[in-house]
Amino acid sequence: MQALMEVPKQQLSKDSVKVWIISETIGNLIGFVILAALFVTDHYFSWPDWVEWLLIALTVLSILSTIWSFYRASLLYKHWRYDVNEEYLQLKSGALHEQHHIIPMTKIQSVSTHQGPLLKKYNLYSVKINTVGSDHEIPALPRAKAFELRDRIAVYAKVEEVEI
Amino acid sequence: MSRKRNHPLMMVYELGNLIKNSLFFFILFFVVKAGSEAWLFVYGRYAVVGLFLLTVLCIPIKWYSRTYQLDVASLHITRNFFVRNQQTVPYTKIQNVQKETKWFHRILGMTSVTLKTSVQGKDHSIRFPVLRKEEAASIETKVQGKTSTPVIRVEEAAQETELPVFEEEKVEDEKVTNQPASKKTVHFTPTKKEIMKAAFASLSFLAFLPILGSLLSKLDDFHFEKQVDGFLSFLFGSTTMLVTTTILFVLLSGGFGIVRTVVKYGKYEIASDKETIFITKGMVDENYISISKDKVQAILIEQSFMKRMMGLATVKLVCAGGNGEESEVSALYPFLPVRRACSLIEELLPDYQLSKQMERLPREAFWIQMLKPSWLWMISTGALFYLKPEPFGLSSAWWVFSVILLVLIMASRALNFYHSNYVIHDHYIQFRTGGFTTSLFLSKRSRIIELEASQTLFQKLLGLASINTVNQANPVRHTSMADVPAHWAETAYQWYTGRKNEVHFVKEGETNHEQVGLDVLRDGYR
Repeated sequence: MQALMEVPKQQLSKDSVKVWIISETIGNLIGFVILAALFVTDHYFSWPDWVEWLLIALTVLSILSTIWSFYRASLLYKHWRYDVNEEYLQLKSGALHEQHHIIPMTKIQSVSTHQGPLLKKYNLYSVKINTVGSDHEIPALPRAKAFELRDRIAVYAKVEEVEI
Repeated sequence: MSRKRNHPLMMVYELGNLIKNSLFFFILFFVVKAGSEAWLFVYGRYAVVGLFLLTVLCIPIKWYSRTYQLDVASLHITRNFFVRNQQTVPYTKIQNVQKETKWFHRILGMTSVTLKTSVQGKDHSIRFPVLRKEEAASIETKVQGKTSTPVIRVEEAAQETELPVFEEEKVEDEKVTNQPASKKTVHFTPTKKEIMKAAFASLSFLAFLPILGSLLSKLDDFHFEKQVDGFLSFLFGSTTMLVTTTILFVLLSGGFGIVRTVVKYGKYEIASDKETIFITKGMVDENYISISKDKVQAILIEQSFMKRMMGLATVKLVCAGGNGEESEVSALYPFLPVRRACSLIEELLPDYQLSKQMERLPREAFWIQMLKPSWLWMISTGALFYLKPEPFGLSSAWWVFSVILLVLIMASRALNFYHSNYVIHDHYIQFRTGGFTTSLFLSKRSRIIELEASQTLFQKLLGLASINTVNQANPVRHTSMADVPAHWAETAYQWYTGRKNEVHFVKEGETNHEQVGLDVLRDGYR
């Protein structure tokens, strides 16, 4: 969908790929530890056969999803775009399931920046935008950019509208 | 401006409610378990009586401590019961006004008023349980901003604990142009024929069955099994008796259905003036609701399978406010003939235009919808395979159920493809979707608070896309249209950006929203 309207151009920080890969890897490692624990208990308590098959299936799925997660991070980064002007916030994300959001500034209720331990490592921030009914997040931006964006949205969102 | 209280009869009403609600406990503790020596019931009896008396004592205090005050722009409610609590609600945040006149109110010539606001959480509505009719009417006109007289705001002494829902709004005492209340016109009252049709379409005669069933089982509970069984065997004993019973049953349930429908929809009136829509309904308990026209966020026209066969439709108004459980509130008469429904929308809301011509989905959409895996079918087939139910001793029933379910799902999808239509005309957007039950959605560009266009991999390959709109409701309503052509999705996206032509941005420093005067202000946002 190449809209006639200006396509959002701003990109996330390149480090977002690393952040995603690290967080996915941590999650996957925890998953594998749990799986291993299940295999051990299965061995000791000799659970029914189908449990073992289920565990094997889960392991195969986990391995596949781990491989996919490496590729996914760079895909996500490549397709994430956002842009903001006086009237609208635009978000575009997703490679396989492409999503375009357009949110009028006047409908934004609050905007905030967040930083978890992983984001901190790369000095990144995520910007959260709340509207009346939904939350949106721009996942990983460099500090200066994130703060500037937050303040800009805050200024734009202050404007009220009246239907004419 | 003096502070007012609810009518003193509120105490009687609350007492009645209390008795009604505590009756169960009294029966349980003093009748059913009267002889029980268990500590729970021995002490429970004291506790029940004690709590009851305490609550009775609270009623007058509650009545006395609850006051309200209406000024030029907002309603102030104070509850000084243990905790001092003051709530300020600007009229602009009130979405609709409801009046409910139960038989209690009716006997005493009273009514109750509920104001629905767009606030989320427990303070979403303000209720006045018992009010004089004149007082209710004056609150309504004040809130809907029909007549406003300049009032000087009384400075309030600082409160110890103040929990206003909104920030206190500073309103200068200024002259507000008096608008003459425009003439009220009645648009619709159902005729006898329409009520009969409604009785049939609502299938309310079927409600007779469970009621009869529960009646019989209740009789069983009260040790009348012998009589019930004897009665049943007497009924089914001979053919003539059986035929008579059947005829009697059909007549009774038909009559029951008609009575039910008449009580519910008999006295129905849809009226409006220049700015407000009024709906009055109910024979015994009268319900009244007034909605300001510019609080309407979208219109829905819904048709169940039964209604479609009979050419009837329900018109619903999507409004902000309420708590989601009371969806009926926003429905206009639910059994309108289709053509009348359309003309009624034009009469009530001239701001909205319904387009008769809509686009069909492209053929590619049919395949993508039909071939989509159905989780419902897969999970229920899995469950059926595992459980293998054998009703009436039929051993192969499980796959029959699975096949029937699949056929139903496929039929629903095919119907959905057939019913799906979309169009953008001027600054209106219109979607129609649904398999067995269809729903047509109509909204204005300025009322859509968010738009999303998306494409899955398959949609991309076939040149399709999905559109999702968000409207304010309680809290929001998402409406999506799947598998429209990608270029149309682009058009919709583009069209949405044009909304800036319909809204006026109030810049900082410019006269503020609240001060422009109440006439400009009646908008449903924020």
